[in-house]
Amino acid sequence: MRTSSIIFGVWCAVVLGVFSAATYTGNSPFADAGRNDIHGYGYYGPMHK
Amino acid sequence: MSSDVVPAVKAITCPNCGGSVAMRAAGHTVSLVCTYCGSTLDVAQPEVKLISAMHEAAAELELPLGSHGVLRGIECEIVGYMRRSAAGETWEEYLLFNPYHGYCWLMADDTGWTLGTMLTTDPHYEPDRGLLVGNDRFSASSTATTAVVDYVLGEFYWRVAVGETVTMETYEGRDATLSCERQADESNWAVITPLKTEEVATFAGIESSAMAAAPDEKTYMFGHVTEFMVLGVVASFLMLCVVFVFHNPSQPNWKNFTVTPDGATQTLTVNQITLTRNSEPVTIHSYSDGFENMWIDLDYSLINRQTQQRVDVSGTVEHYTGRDSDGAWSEGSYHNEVTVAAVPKGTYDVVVEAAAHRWSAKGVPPPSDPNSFATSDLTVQVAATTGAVFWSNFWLALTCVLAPPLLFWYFSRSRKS
Repeated sequence: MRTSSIIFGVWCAVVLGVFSAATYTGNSPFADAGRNDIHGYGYYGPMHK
Repeated sequence: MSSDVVPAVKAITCPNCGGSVAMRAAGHTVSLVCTYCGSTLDVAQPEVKLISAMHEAAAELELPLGSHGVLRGIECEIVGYMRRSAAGETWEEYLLFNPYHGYCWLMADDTGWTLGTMLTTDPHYEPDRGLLVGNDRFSASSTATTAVVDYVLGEFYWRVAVGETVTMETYEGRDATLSCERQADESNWAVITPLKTEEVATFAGIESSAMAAAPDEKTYMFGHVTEFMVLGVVASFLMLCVVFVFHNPSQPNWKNFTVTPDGATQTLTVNQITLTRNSEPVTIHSYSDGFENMWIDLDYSLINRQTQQRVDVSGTVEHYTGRDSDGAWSEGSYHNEVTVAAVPKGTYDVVVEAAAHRWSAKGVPPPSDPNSFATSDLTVQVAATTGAVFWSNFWLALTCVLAPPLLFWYFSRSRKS
């Protein structure tokens, strides 16, 4: 296996490790507990109009 | 070797190690690197002088020095070898010599083999056409980089040494690349054309399948990318496994309550949830139906029974319908799901403040059927469960493991084309 492949394998292992830790502890940089759902728009009602 | 090529091989005794080194381009060669000890010798004068003494075993070359054959119709011999690097990339250069045609370069890098033919005159520059070599046009393709000689072996027409640097620029043409190497006041121009591995193998008299050190297009494209893709796909599969192993949601315990449209805000404790891990995600589901053009504001609080710490969460159940020039439309959902990340361990009361509102807005046509508003109280169901899948994490991680091989494949294709 080439050095570049080994480095990429290590990178994949790091990503997998961080992802596993985030999944186990229930962490996400994108989870905002619904604060952005409606109040982010500052408007109630259909977005269609 | 054909009869019109006059071999000019001369034996030189290395003053450092005493080895007998063949000088194949006698009369043209200025410096020679001993194939036994790696010492650089000055052979421009009758007395061979030692420029730098080395005691390093010569590298085993894929194309041995002295290999000769016909390349692009010209019989030539490999007299020198250099390994150079620039901007993190390394490549090999074999110096070929023919007494009548002079020198040319056989080069190998990750993308395959190329032949560098030196120009005896500088390219002509025209402002609107770029650099011209004959009728071939070339335009700048890279900024100037510094190339360093990392290893050298054999004989050369200048005093080459490890560590020597030149400034390199490349210009792209339709079928070839123009290379310019500048050192002090001197500029050397060469036209570089791609070579097939089979051509190089035929020239050197070896099997093309044995030429593994300089990967051809096939190995480059499918060797690296395949390894990367396999690793990326395995990592993606393991991430999916992680999602399903760690996502263990509790059974939802639905609680019902009613809210009056445009009435008072209802506050009540609807649920209790216990988190056993130090940090866990929580999902709060809510559902209501039997209304149109209304929204139900749901402000949840997870209140820790022991510490009274609270986590505030918001959700909205809303559904709208109407008719306009495009026809009927509807929007929203009777179901809402909110995920809360990393809630600390403990037992929590789930408190909800709910308020239902009718929708009306200035300048917006009223609902087609005014009776579509709910006229009576609305029943809302709420349930909190442990566990949640953050697919955003999954897509982010998937991008991290699949983007490098895809980019690698894309850029290697661009480079080849």
